[in-house]
Amino acid sequence: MDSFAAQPSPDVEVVVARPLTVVMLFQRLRRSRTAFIGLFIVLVLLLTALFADIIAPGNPAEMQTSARSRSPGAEHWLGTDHLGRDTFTRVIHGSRVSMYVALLTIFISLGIGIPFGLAAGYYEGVFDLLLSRLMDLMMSFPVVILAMVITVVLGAGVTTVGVAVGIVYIPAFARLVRASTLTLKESEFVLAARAVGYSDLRILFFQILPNCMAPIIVSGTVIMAYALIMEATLSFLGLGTQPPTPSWGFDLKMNLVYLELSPSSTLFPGLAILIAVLGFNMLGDGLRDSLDPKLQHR
Amino acid sequence: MGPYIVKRVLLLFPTVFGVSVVIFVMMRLVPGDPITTMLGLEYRPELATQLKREVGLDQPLIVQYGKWAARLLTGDWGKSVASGIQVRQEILRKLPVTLELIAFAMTFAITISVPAGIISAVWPNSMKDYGLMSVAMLGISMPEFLSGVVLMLVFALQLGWLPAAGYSPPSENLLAHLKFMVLPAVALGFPRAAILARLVRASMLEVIGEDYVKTARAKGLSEWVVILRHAFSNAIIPPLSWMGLQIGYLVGGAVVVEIVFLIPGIATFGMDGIFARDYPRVQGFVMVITIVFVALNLLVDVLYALLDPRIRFGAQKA
Repeated sequence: MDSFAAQPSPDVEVVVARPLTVVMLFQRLRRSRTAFIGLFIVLVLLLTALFADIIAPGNPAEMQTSARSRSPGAEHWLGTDHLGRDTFTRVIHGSRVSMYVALLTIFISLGIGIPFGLAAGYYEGVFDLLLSRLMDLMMSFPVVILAMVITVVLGAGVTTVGVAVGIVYIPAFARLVRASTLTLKESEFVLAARAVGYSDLRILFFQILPNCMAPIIVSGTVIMAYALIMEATLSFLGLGTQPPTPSWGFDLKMNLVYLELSPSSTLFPGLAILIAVLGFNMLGDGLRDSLDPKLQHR
Repeated sequence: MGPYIVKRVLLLFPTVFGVSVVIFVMMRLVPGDPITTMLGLEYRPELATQLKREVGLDQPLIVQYGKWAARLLTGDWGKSVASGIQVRQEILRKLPVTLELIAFAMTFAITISVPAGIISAVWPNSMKDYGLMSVAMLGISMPEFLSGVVLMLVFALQLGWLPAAGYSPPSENLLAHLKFMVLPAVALGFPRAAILARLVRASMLEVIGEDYVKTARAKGLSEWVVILRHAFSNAIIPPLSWMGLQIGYLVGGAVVVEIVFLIPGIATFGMDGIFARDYPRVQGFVMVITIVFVALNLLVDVLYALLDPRIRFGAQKA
C-alpha cells in the first residue's frame, strides 16, 4: 500500500490529506481485540491453504474402503465419510477452494469496480450515467440468483464460482469508490495536483484512490466473508465446486444424507465454514471501528 | 411527494426491461439447450429440429426475445419446454409459499432482534451485551443452509420436536403446515436477526446520548419509559428501514432454504428449470424474483421518504 502513497511536489504538500499506510493500519488494529482475533483466524486460514499438503499429507480424494464412516480417533482425527475418505484431510484441503474463491472474488470485484468507480466519479457525464444504470441493473437481481445464473452460464467449477461472485460484487465497490471520488475531486489537494499539471491517471490512482482506501479495505474484508458464504452455498446447491475437489459446502451436502452414520464428516466442514466466515467478519468489524474517524477518540 | 413516487415507479420499467434482456441472453449462453437435455438418449437430429421448430427455438434470438417479451406483457409467460405446464400458473401457485416463508422469517427476525438490541444498548459492554453480540456475530457468519442444517439436526433429528423437511399445504392441516414452516423460517430469519440486533444496538446507543433523552430522565420519568417511549421510538427507524430493504434479499435466501427443507416454493421450480435448461421456466422464475425484489425495495424507499422529508426534497432538487 505504501506504493500508493501520494507523491506531491513540495508546494502542494501542505494540503495533502494523509492516506492510509500499512503501519497506521496496524497501529489502529492493535486497539481492537475483535480485529486481532479475526486477523489471527484469517492468517491461520491462509497458512492452512498454503501448506495443506504438509498439514494433511494424504490425498483428500483417496477412499479407504476398509475404513468407512469411522468416528474420530487416533488414525482418522476427524473420522471418515461413507466412502472412507479422511475428513481431516478434506477439511484442510477444502480451505484451498475457499481461500482461492475469496481471493479471486476480491481480485475481480476490486479490479473492475475501482477503475469504474474512479472514472465515473471523476468524469461524471454520460459514462457515469451508463455505468450507474448498469450497476443498478446488476443490483436489481438478488445476489444469490445472479451468482447462480452466472455459474450455470460459465459451467460449474471453482474458478467459475470465484468469477461469478466477483462479478456480483463489482457494483458494491464501483459505487463506494464513485461516491468517495465525487467528494474527493473537489478537495484542495486534488485541485492543487491538477494545477501542478498532474495527469488524470496520476491524480486518480495516486491522489484520490489512497484517500478512499479505508472504506475499501473494510468492505473488501466483509465481501471476502460473503464470498466464502457464496462458494459454500453454490457448492451446497451443486452449482459450485465439483467432486472430487474437496469443498466445505459440497462435502456438507454430500454427507448430510449419511448424517447418522458419520456425523463428524458433516459437522466439521460446517464448522470450518463458520470459523472462516467469522474470521473475516470479525476482522472487518474491527477494521471498521479502528478506521472510522468518528470512533477514533473513544 | 407525488413526483418522487412517479419518478421511482417510472424507473421500474427500464429496470424490468433490462432484467428481462439480461436473463434472456444469459439463458441462451448456457451450454446445451432444452430439447437436447429433454431428449437425452432418445436424441435424433431430425426429431430435435422438429421439436425446436414447434417451440420456436429455431428462430433468430431477437425474434424469440420479441415474442417472449410481447407475450409476457399480455400475461402469457410461455410453457415449460419439458413438461408443457403454463409457467405463470405454476409460479402463481408456488409464489405464496415463498412469500409466506419470507413473512415468517421477518417476523422471527424482528421479534428476537429488537429486544436483544435494546438490552445490549441499555447495558453496553456488560456480560449481557457481550453474550448477545457474540451470538449475533455467529449469526452473521452463518450461511442460511448451514443454520438450516444445524436446526434440522437439533430440533428434528435429536429432539424430534419438528419435522426435518417437507411441506404440507395449509388447506389440509394448518397445524402440520405451521410445523413444517418453523425451522425454515428460523433458518432464514436468524442471519437477519443477527444483523438487525447489531443495528438496533448501535442506533439505541446513539440516541441514548441525545439531549432529549437526558431531559426525559431529568423530568424524573422511570428508566424504562425513557428507554422505550423516548429513545426506542426514534432509534428504531433506521434499523427498520434496513429491514425493509432486506425483504428483497430474503427472496434470494429463501431460494436456498427452500431447497434445504424441500419446500415446493418457486425456488425448487426455478432450480429444476436451470438443470433442465428449460428457458421459459427459468426466465419466468428470475423475472418474478427480480420483480418482487425491485417492487419491495421501491415500496420501502417510498415509505421511508414519507417518514423522512429530507429524502423527498433531495429527490425534487435532483
